[in-house]
Amino acid sequence: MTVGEMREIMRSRVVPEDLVPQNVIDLLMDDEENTAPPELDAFTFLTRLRALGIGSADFMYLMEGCEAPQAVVDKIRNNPAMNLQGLILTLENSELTADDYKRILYTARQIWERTLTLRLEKSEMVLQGGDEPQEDYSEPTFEEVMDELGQIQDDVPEGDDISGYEEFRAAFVTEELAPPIEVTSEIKPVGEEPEEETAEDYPDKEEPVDEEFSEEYPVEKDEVKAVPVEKTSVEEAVAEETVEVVPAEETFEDEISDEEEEVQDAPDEYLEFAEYSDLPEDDQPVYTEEIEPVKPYNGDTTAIVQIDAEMLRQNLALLAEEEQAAVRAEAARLAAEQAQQEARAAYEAARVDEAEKKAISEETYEEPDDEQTEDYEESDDKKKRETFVVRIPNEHPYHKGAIITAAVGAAVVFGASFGVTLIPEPPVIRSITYAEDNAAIFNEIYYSYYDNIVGGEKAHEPVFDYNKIFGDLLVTADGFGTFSEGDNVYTVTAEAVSASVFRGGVLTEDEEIFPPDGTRIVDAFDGDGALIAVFSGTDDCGFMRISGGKTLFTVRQDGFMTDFDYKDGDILIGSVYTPRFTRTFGIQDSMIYMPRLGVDEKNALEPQSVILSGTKGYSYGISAAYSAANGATRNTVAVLGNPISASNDGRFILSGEEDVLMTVGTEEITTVKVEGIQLAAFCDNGSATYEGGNIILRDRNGDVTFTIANPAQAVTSMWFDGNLLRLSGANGVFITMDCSDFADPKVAELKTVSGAVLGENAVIFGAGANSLTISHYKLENGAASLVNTYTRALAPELLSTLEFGGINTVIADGVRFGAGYRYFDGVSVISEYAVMEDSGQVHPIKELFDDRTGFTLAFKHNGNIYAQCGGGIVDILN
Amino acid sequence: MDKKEYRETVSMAANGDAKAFSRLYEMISREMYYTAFYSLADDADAIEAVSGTIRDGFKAVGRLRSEAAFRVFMMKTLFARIKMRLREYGDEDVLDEEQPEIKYRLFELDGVDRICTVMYIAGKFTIEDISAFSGLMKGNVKKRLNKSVNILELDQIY
Repeated sequence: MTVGEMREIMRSRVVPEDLVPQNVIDLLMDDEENTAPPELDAFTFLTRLRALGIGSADFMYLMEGCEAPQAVVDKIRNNPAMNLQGLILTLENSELTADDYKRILYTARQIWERTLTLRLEKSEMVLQGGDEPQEDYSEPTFEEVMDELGQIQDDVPEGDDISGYEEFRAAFVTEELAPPIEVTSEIKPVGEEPEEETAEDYPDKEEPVDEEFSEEYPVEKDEVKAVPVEKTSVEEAVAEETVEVVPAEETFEDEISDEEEEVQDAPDEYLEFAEYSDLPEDDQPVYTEEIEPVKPYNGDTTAIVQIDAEMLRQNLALLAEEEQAAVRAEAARLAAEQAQQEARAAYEAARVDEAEKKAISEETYEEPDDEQTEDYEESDDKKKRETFVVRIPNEHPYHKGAIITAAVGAAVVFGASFGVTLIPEPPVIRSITYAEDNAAIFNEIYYSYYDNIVGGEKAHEPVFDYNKIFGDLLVTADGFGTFSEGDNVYTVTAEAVSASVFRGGVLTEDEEIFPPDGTRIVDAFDGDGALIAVFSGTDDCGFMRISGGKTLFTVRQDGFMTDFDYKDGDILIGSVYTPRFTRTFGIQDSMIYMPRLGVDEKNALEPQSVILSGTKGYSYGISAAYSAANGATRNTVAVLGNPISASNDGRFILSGEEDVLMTVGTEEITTVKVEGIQLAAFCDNGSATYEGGNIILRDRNGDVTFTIANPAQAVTSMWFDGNLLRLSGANGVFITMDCSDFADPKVAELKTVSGAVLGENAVIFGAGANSLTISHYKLENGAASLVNTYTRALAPELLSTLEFGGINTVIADGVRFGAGYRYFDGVSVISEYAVMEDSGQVHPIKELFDDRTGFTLAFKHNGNIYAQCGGGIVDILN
Repeated sequence: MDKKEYRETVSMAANGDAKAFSRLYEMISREMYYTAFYSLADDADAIEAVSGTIRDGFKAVGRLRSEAAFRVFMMKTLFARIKMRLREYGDEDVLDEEQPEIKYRLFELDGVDRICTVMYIAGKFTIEDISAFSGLMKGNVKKRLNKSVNILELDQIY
């Protein structure tokens, strides 16, 4: 069975009368008359207390302060081992009412919000040896009871009576709770407060709360996660000790081990409330008071704060111990680093001595010419070098330092740091050469990492959007368009390719084809009878070849795309890639540190395809060409160092002590020194760089051909669209230069229009004073050449309601063109589809009245044009 | 419904106009019912879940700034209600013999997998939509849908 068939069966079911929109009016009207929210019960009451982090002593104090029956208070106090069920039963059998619960909760919340400073002061007093009398309310099992409550919320057993209607509410409960710091406060009984005040649980909120909504979901607002604004180390120590993190409550989620999901799930259910209730997400009541420096207790406060002094002392002792350990570790790390550096310096000195001696004796060493290409020839001697090995046992202090560094930087954890005892030899002469082997690349990466130089920071992904330049037209679109191939119809957006099948006059959704995780589609076009969807993301770029409704193959290349072209049946991609090291690795783990690419699965490049650029950094510029037909790799070259941009044809701009423009030819590598490059982009004619506030154009030889001095805005992104250089500033593209002649670029006056660019054709939608127009252009020598224009007369008042049907409705096949649109004539929404032959022959308009969606897409099939609308498929030409 | 019309309708619904709310609800009424019916044991449960969601929506509609927000709110709430109900089922075999054949196959899926799959197939929601409704990551939704392919013996789910 296909999805379409299953969908058809499922959607054929008739919606019950009760749920027919017209009938829900009665349902809602009935509810209007009976909207009283359920009253608080013991379970809910305890749940909300738990959310406020109320400890046992506070609980008892609140019960007494709010005039709970003494018998209940005594019973709870005298039964420290009382479990949750017992506590609920005790409360339910007491005379406490929902109003009492509300009053207690209100008071509890006030304690929670207002006594932080007092807690802090008091804790310091206790530390200083104050002999504040300790209240003897501690019920060690109360927290356990509350834990049990949390457990029940998380996983309510079937048929558990105590959950009742709370189960639904529990779906919205945020699971991360405030630390249950024990606090009590002298509180004047509030039992005599007017009902109106107590009815609203939290009247002191700044944000007005919809009473009805808060009553419907009374738990949510209270249980938002507490986010301390400022914490002292003491407070943090206490909080760390007492924070409870309760797992998300979904039983169905238990099976899900996906860490990301766990992260997202719990807060999302809280966010649901925050988002739709218009409460700020961070509208969280705790720690709203500024924490003042410690000051002596002045006796004025009315608060009585109970502190578990012993616990606090333990925490502080622990904290002090940890701090000392950190200091010791840091000292050890520094010592280890120093030893490491000394060893390295000694080694380098020895190497330089050796090199100098060799140069003098053999007279082969030449000073490199700054302006010229450096052809570094590795001496055979290098191969004979003895490996410089420093053995570092796992327990070496540096080991810990390395872990700390890696954890903080969330970056590489090298073998040497984690006990693989080889430290590679440092690169002595930094110059440009192809890597001999993996070890050469590993060495470079190791020392770049060691020096904390990542590289690639100046590289920018171009601004990908649906808009395209077509001659002097900037065509704005709402997608990449609709493509058809036999019975298959594809609509492409940045998110996915939606494949459908057109059979028997019915268009059936077949498959959603997604680009690899973390990427989005940046272009799509017809490539020799198949759809090519190009994608790019932070760590991945490439293209998918789609045919027959399925992905035939996916070519993937590491890094984000910086340049792209499709020519002569090949797809050429330039990308910049910074490996993300997350675990220990050694030379043999080439998949971790080498650039990777390939069809369907990525493979590490051969080291002989990687150029060591001489710039420090462990990022790669990658340039590769692939066959669009089968994904076979044509040419591949990567550059290791600090790339700013990579072209699709073997040109790179790198940043180092001297920035260089590197061109990798078939026979030689040429470099040109450039200065202070901030951004770079490539086109066939040459390159453009943003240097010192100016845009410098260089031809393919690297010679400067033109300087655009001081562009109107600071450039944040630049890229070529064909020969058009687009410069983006803070507010988007602010200038487009026509660089067809690199020696004489001109400002391109682009006319922004709505429509679609489909290969060499563009269909532009427009509206005049008394008519709408649909124009077909063809690209001739880089210019948009008008083929023909369809005109439909419309009164101005109708034109004011005119809407273009979007890129998916556009057809342009070099023979005819068409598009959908709609307007409102005062009575009905009229959707029309117009088609015109390039020769000028106009086909009769297809017209729909008050169609639910109008024409949403159009496609060619067996020489006809079909369009989809709310009512189904319309044959446009017949 | 365009933005202006939506705002007007929301305004009326927020002021207690049930008829206006029903117009908003109409936009997703079928999708809501299909999701509930094929995820839950029977019509009664589905009606209860959808009715509850409608009540929630009626109360919250004034705060939902756009049609998209309304849709997300309704489906998220429905998702939560369905999960609550499913939890009540526990391990019981809740399907009686009067259910459509396709439902027996769907009930071979785990609860959340089933909701996601039903949303995708019957509700015609995208993976992004389902991710927004369920709070699951998109990749996780895809994973669940893929799992459903084998169990439901579908050709391809997307």
